[in-house]
Amino acid sequence: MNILIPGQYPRSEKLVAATRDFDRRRITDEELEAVRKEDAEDFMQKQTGFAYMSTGNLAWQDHLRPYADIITGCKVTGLKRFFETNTFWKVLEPSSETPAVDESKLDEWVERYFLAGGMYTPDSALVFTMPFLYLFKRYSRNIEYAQITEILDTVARRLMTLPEKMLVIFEPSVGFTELTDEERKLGRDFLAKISTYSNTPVILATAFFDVTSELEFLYTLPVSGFGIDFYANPVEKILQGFPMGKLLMTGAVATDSTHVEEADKLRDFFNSVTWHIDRSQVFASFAGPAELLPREAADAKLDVLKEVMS
Amino acid sequence: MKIQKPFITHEVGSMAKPGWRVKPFRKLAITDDDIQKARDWGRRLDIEETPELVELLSKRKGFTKEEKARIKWFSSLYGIRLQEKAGIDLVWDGEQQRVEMYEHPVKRMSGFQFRGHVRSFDNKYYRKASCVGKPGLAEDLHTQEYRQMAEIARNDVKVPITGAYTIVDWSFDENYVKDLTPGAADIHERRKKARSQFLTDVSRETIYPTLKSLHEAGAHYLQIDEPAATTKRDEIPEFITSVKESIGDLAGKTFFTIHICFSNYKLLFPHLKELEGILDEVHLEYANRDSQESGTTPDKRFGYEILHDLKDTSFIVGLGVLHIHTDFIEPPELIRDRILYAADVIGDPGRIMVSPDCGLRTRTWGVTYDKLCNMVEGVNLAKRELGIG
Repeated sequence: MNILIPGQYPRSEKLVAATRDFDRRRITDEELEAVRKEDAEDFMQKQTGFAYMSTGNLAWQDHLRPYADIITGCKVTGLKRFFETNTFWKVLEPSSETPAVDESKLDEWVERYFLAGGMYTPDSALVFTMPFLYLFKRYSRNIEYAQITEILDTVARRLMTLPEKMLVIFEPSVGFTELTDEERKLGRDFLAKISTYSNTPVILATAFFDVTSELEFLYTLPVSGFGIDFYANPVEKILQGFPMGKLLMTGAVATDSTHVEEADKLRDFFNSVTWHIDRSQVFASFAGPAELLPREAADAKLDVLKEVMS
Repeated sequence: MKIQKPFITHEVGSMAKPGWRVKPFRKLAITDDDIQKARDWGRRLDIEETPELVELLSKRKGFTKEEKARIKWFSSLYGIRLQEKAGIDLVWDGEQQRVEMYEHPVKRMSGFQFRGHVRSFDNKYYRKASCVGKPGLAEDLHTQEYRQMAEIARNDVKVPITGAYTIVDWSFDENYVKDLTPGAADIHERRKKARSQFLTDVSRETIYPTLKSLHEAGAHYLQIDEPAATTKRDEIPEFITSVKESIGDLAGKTFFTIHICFSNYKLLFPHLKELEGILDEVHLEYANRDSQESGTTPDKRFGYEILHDLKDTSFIVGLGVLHIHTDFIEPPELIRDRILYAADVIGDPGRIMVSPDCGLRTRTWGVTYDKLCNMVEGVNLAKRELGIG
């Protein structure tokens, strides 16, 4: 089934409570992990039949934080608003002038963060999510684009050598900030480089913002497909000129509303999309990070996506 | 509503809740340490009723509804006395009666249902509600609370209430967006219209009647808290409209403050000028972005840069001089210099009120008290420097 749930899925109410209890030293690490495992298994169950499953990244704090563990001398500093939401990320700040990935830690790091601590095997069909350059830059300090590129390149190379994977590169900055020509070139060069590592499909996922003024840039990038928030972008504008053969990850259910979309309305939406491109190239998804929703609402939206895509 | 006295001091809202205030509501037993703290602070703040509190707490657990209400009352009494003892002019109880600034009002509104927890950051989550029908007031939000505080307080009180924009921005919407179709040609316009209607309804149906009720009950200082004001850069005009609709015909009848913090203030200009004659005080956070060095030159007071934008408005400047996320106790001399710098930029000491950056609820009472005492001392030093009595 062509449904993709990249990034962090919301923790269950039980896991939220267990995490709070753990922080207040009311339960042990083992008790917390048991709840987390139960939650991850439940989420795994919900994705039965998906071409690529997601671990839900239920132990992550945000998309950048895992990188603090493998970048040499990296500090986690103050809070910064996550775009225009009421969620905050912590800013990474390497203390070294030449921050780089400590590759000796990489295997254990990949297993912990991308294979849910060994719940999934390296050859499981999974969707992985990584930040793109501009996102990383926005939520870090004292680190140059060249160094960010090196860090993300090292990680992407390792992730893309694993079989049966889809890589979603997350970038809400497109449509939010005016990118310089240099930034565009850096992004393009990075994507071109990682595309040589394997046949792993790579999707560049935007979110939250109107990207119609950036389509010329986006559609010439060397990626397998694009993720578009259709609560910020009209179908007609996005799909006129959509490059042949590329995948489209459709942000079809909203992450800023708990209103569960009606199945008929979503069918109409997908019909309008598949009028332009072949159904096999379309993946249904959330319009932004699913974890902005409470778990119950995210589950209900996922159910309706499954109903529509089955 | 004009006030003439320069450098009036006020708290911004929340303070930490004592263990003895929180535990009875979490079904946790009161400890010896909790009782000792109640006794110590009672002595420090000259609270005559302390023996009654100590006796009440000595029950330890299994408090009745009435006893819990009495404990909350004591917590408000202690919070107000702490501020009065520190020398603050306009006081509040540190929001001892409230859960926090979002859940407290939304629970008392109709048209909302709590949907579950969402992440604020790291492992910190908050309960987020969704608007499921036209918002209204299911019960009184703050008037009873105000009456209780006014009865306790010896100084004037200032009532903080969460503003319409923040309530809307921190909630989900199921009511106004239900007709949206993803990818529709007019998706932007429809979303904007839905958002505006949501804001208008919260402003007119919940915030305006609350402010009106407080005004009619005799509250002279009303503070609208809008930490979310600049969250969405394209919505500043909608935020301004929501303030106008929240205050309505009450403008000029009582003293209105707006409090915004940890935001990109540049986005507020020039739109904020539309609120001249409606708002009296604009209170922002500054100390958080300032240096800790004494001095009155721009290179030392770079955290106060936005004052240059406020200078040519008619607003009283609510000057945050205490960093609320650190235990660093600002020396009176540093506070003095922040005030003097602001007085120099604004050009009129009568247009400056002095306060912490935001609520001090993340600090202990000891740190809060020391910070507030130094703030008052800093005000006195600044007055002396300017020859103001």
